[in-house]
Amino acid sequence: MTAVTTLIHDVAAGRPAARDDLYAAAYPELRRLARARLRDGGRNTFLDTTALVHESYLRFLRAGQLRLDDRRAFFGYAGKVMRSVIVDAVRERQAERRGGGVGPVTLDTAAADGLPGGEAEVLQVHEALLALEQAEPRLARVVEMRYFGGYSELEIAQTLSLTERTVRRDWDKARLLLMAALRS
Amino acid sequence: MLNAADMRTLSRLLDEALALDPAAAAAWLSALPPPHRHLAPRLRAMLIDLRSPGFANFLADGPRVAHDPADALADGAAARAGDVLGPYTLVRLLGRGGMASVWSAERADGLVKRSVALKIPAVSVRSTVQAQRFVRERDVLALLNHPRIARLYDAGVSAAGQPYIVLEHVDGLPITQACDAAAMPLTARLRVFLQVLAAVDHAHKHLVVHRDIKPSNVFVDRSGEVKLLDFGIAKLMTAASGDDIAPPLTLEAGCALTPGYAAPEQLEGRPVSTATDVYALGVLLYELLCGCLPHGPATASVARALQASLHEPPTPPSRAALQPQAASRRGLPGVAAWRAALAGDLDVITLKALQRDPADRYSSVERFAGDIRRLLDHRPIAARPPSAGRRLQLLARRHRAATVTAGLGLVVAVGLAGLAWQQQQQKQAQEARSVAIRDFMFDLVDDAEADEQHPGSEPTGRAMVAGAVQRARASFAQQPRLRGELLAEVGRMQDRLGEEADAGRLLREGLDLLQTHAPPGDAALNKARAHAAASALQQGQVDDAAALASTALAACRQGDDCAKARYYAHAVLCSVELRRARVADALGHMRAGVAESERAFGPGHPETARALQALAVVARQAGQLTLAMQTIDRALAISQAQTLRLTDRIEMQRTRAVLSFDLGHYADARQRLEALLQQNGAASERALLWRLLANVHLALGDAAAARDAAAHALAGTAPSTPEAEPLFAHQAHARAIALLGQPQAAAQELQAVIEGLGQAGYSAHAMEVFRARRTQAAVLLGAGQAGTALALLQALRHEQSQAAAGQEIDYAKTLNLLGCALHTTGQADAGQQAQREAARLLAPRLPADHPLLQPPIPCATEP
Repeated sequence: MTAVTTLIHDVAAGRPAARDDLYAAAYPELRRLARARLRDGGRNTFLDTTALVHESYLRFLRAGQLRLDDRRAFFGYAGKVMRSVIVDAVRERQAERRGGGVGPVTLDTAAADGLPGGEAEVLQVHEALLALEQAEPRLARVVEMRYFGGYSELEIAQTLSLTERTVRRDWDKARLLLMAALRS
Repeated sequence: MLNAADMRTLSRLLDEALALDPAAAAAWLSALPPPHRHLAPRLRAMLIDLRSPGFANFLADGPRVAHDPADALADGAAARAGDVLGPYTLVRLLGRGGMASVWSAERADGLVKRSVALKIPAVSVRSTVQAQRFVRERDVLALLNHPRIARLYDAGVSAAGQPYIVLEHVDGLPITQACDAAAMPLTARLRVFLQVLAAVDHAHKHLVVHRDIKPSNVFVDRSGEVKLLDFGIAKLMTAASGDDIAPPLTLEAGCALTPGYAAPEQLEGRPVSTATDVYALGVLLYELLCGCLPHGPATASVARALQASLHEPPTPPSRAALQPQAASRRGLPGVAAWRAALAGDLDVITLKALQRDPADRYSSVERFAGDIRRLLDHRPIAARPPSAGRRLQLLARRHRAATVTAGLGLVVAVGLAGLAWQQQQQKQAQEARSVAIRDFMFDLVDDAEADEQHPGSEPTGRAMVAGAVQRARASFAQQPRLRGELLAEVGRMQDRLGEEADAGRLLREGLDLLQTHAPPGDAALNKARAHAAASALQQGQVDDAAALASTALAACRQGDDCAKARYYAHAVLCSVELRRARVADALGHMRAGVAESERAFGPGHPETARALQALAVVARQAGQLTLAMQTIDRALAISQAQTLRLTDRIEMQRTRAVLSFDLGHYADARQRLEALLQQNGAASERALLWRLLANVHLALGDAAAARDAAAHALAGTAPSTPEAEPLFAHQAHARAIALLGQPQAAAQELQAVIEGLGQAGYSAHAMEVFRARRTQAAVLLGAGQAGTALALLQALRHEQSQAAAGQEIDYAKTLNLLGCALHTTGQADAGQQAQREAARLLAPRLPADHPLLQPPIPCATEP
């Protein structure tokens, strides 16, 4: 595996394939971590994505693949990786259940106001984000980092070079749009 | 679901709506123009959503994923009561964490009825290598036998590959809870903490590092006795998971690394040492005293912990966020009394253990315990002076503009702090002196602080040194011995920073005072002698240097106090003997020097790494390449674990490259040197690297590259330096241009080199001079003047055959070249004989794959 730091710098330098390599470098690690977490949890668990992203960061750091200075860049893209890890995990699980004849997915926390809950929410947020990415890329990025990556507002602000106030405003506005999308 | 175009429009309209107050927004919505009118209901719903109670929670918790029981069966976490692992039967689950589950268990064979704790890590052992490592680690831990350490009874791997660890079952509470439950006052807490230190000290003396000290691993049982759990378990688990398969992160983050308690080096992935435990013990002490952690709550994310412990100094305990209700749990009437109890020595002790750099912490748990005991006995603690250095460091940081010169002042003060520290370690009788030195330092800092009040008159390092000298003369006018000590110390600091002339004067002045006023065997006097000797050597006064260093050795023969003086003296004498071409003596001095450094500083100390580096160089000069390689590897191992000056680090790596070259691994040497040239070393260091690279190119037969490298080397060295370095660069350059067809210029250049070496103090029998002469012969031989070359080489052979032991490799190279010359002049038999003799000398001293041992002998490019 190429050192993550090198890939981050390659991406910054504009090498086209680097982005994919970078993604491929972190995906297996994050997926393994995510699965380990899911095993440890209770019946319904919030995947602690904050910890996952930070731990994967730390792992790369300890393996000498990442330098401390590249923390910001790493977090910037780890949210994206985390998103696909989670979406893939949910899809895989649903496929297994259907295949195993367990029956249709039950919504574990169907909200009173007609919003989906649990795993269905994950997939729907993911799809709504695809549209939001085209309409308002920055808002989508904030959601990706906060919802899938579990970053704090401060971390998002630092990574995207925004003020915390802007991040908070973006987050609220993005959620309004996503809520509308999920309802329709 | 909305599409992207809808979203874009909604987003824009939402901006407009959100800028209005609710009433205006309602009006605005009703008046939406036709293209967007169909979006009005949706926008209205969004504005309502914004104020609905559910909105705050929407997406706030991150993705929610259902747990799949099928996954749980995939690893060892699925053990059940009644399961058998090795000779143990699981009885009851005691707890489950991210990385292991803990069971109460009994021996299945009924041999022992006692119930034990059985820990099942969430890893499986797949290879025999891992299993062996696991067993080895277990055997080390089984040796730990201390009343305060929970015993490791057994550890093994089940038939299914599931490792398990059998531990003493401890019934009790984590130390923080136990202390709070008993409402222990601070002094009682410190006594309990001393029990913890005793246990960790015992383990450290058995070379076991805990790696994960935290309250949940430090139990207090019902009788009030401390028991440390999981000693070395972190390493045991790492051994089980193996290096070939990356250990799961939970292992590292969940066990070996607990945010809040992990030391900076653990967070950065640098090597773990006893200092790592000292840090964690510092955190534990902090928590016992304050009820909180030095860098915020333990539940914080790893990244937060990393950020805080790497970049933020810990809050002194007395200024921590103390909870009023927790004061009574420490038998104190309130927060003010609590703060007062912590301020001062407890702050100092705790912060000393929490230093970011492992080298700045207590050097052992024993010393940590010593300060706690002194505190409890109301005696002065040892850990104060560095905080004065710290003040100065902060001061220097505020004056970044004057970096170079401020560095000078900083080193002076830090050096003096070290002096004060060292003195404090000594007997009570000297306490007054160390207090005087401490005051002196504070005055220095205050001088600088006072200047800070006036903008534009920032104190430079130079001014601070001048101030230090002046103050030493004025404040200690009546204490000549102390004055001498301080002046010598300031002199040495200046020497380190390249102010050699001033350094020499100050060292002399200090030394004269000490010689008059200190007893002959005084450690400071003899250290000053050794430093003065080093300074004399730098000025080319070889005999003076030898005399001073020998006097120091003779006067300071015994005792730990004198170890530093002896170390510095041996190092000087080593250089002296090298100048006098007595390599064996030089080697003896440097061996002794390493031993003294280990005694004075410790075996893993950066200074010892420097001593080892010097020893490697001398061993190489003495032709003992294997010893040299082993020695430099020891130095490099220290450099991995310690913070070293960049120059030292580069020097060690450079020595390693040179040894590769000596052993005939030319391509490896080239690679290492080229890598070193990528670093930002000093100009003189780069020049040296270029020169070495030129020689490697010569050995690889690339004369053009050699010439260019030698030219780089020459461009980087100042011709006026008294050192011989530019001469060696000229030598490589001459050899290269000779091969490129300019033998005349090369011969002239070499003649200048040989004369220059004599002027630089090299004896006619020094290896460097022999080498230059051999190169001269090689050039002549290559230019077709075989007769002259032969005469030169025969003279050289005669002289070198009488040279001291240790020069056999070099002598053999001369013989080889002589063989070539004899061959060229038609004396094939004599030539073969000379080369056979060379091979006989080389075979036991070089590895079998060395190019010099592979026929035919390379006559043309012999370096």
